[in-house]
Amino acid sequence: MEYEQVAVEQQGRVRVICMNRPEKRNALSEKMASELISALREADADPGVGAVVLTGKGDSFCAGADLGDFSRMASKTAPVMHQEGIESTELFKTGYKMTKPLIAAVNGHAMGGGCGLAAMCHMVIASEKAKFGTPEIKVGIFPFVIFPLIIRAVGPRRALEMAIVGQPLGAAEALEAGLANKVLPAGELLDGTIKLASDLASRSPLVMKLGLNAYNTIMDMEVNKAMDYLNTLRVIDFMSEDLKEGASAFIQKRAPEWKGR
Amino acid sequence: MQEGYKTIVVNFANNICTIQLNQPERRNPLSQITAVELNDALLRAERNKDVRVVLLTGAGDAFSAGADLREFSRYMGNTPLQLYDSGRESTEMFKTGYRYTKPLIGAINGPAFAGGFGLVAMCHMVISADTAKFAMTEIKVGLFPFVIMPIIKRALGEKRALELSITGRVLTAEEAKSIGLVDEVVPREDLMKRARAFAEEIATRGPVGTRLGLTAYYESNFMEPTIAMDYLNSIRVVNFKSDDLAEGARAFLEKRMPEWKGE
Repeated sequence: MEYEQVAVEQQGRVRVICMNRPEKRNALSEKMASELISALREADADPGVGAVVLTGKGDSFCAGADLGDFSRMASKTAPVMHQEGIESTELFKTGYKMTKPLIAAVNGHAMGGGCGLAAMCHMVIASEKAKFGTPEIKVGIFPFVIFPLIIRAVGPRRALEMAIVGQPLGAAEALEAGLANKVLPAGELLDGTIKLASDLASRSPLVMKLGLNAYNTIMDMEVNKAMDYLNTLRVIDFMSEDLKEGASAFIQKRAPEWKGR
Repeated sequence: MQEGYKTIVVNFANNICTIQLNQPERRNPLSQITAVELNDALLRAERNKDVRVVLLTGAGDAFSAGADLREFSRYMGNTPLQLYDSGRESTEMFKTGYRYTKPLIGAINGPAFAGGFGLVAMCHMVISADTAKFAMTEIKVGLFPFVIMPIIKRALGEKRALELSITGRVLTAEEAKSIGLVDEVVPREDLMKRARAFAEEIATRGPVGTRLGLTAYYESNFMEPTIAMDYLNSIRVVNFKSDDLAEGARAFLEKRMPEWKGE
């Protein structure tokens, strides 16, 4: 697919998806959202991809909603806004449907929807210069759709504080809050994240897929039912060739050769 | 996937999209490829602004009479991961149907067994030929109707869903009507005429109210009821501010048919 606002590269088994509208600080326009959905789905379906890195070109990760889109809202009826909203919300649901690890390399400002994208990813590596925030309240809106994702990243009280105060977090604060897993100097961010992604891409793809499915599915399950559900996934893993190979390789002190089955 | 379907046929006329399972010589089994094609066709019809109603039927003597057991045995020889992956793919079709936001009408031309029973239960409304039969036959070969369980429960209530799953017994069309699986039973030769007339009537209802309503139905389904009511209040605002509601009210007062725009 031809992308206008997104740039896609590959390094080994890592797919790197860059938001590529630096002149607009990678604002999340309708077009960018739809291209990101395509790029993420393509990466997920490609057997040559073991992990995905999401980042932004230029100084910004993603500045959130494109205010140009907001002004076009006035001419739309409520049902049209509702339907378009459902379609763009699909982007924030795409993360948890991924069967491969999705790591954000947050190179700069991740505001509003941009913060939501970071929260959606399985892990976040932040540049020292990164800022995370949901300042929407200052322009008269609330980070509605992304709120559940922020809550999962930082917990309900911190998420509420971010939403009603609207004050951004720096990299160190994001690390402490649980939104970022690690902070790297700006110059090392992309290489460091790709290295982590490469390590993840070298794990058994079967186990990654089952494990990510487990994570997404049990989130709101009652705990005993969650354990029973996970028991069934474990059966599938127990019967895999990869588990036999992994155990043998460990005993023989060599690197495993995964087959993904 | 473009319209190059191998096992189904899709037609569109008068705001009605008709999807026909089309392997009559094999009794329209709900195979992996059919589930994927059916999911694609349902999603396209859902996104198409000109489609108001989807009609689902089968070619030949059966609606969908279960898997070919020789193929089924070969399928069982796959690795657990292959079964899990391909199962998830076909499950997508049942998810699409379960949360469908346009009226989905079944025109059941003949026997509906196993996955086919799930398709019938998935439809919002069902017109059945008098010759049709209905059963969840999985239990008889040692399986269970797993994936379709939530769909059967919604259609029939829990006790009846459990009973039919455990016994695997075959229902006639009239018996299916008496338990609420089927809404209307007609002679076989009148089926498509009656189903189309019914679909055309449903197609005259407000599309915005229908879409928002079916969306709200699915989303609020397991919410605590008073929280559900708050959610439903907010989606009602979206409907209140639609052009179609203003038109619908005007048309009613002016004693004419509304001209829907879908927004």
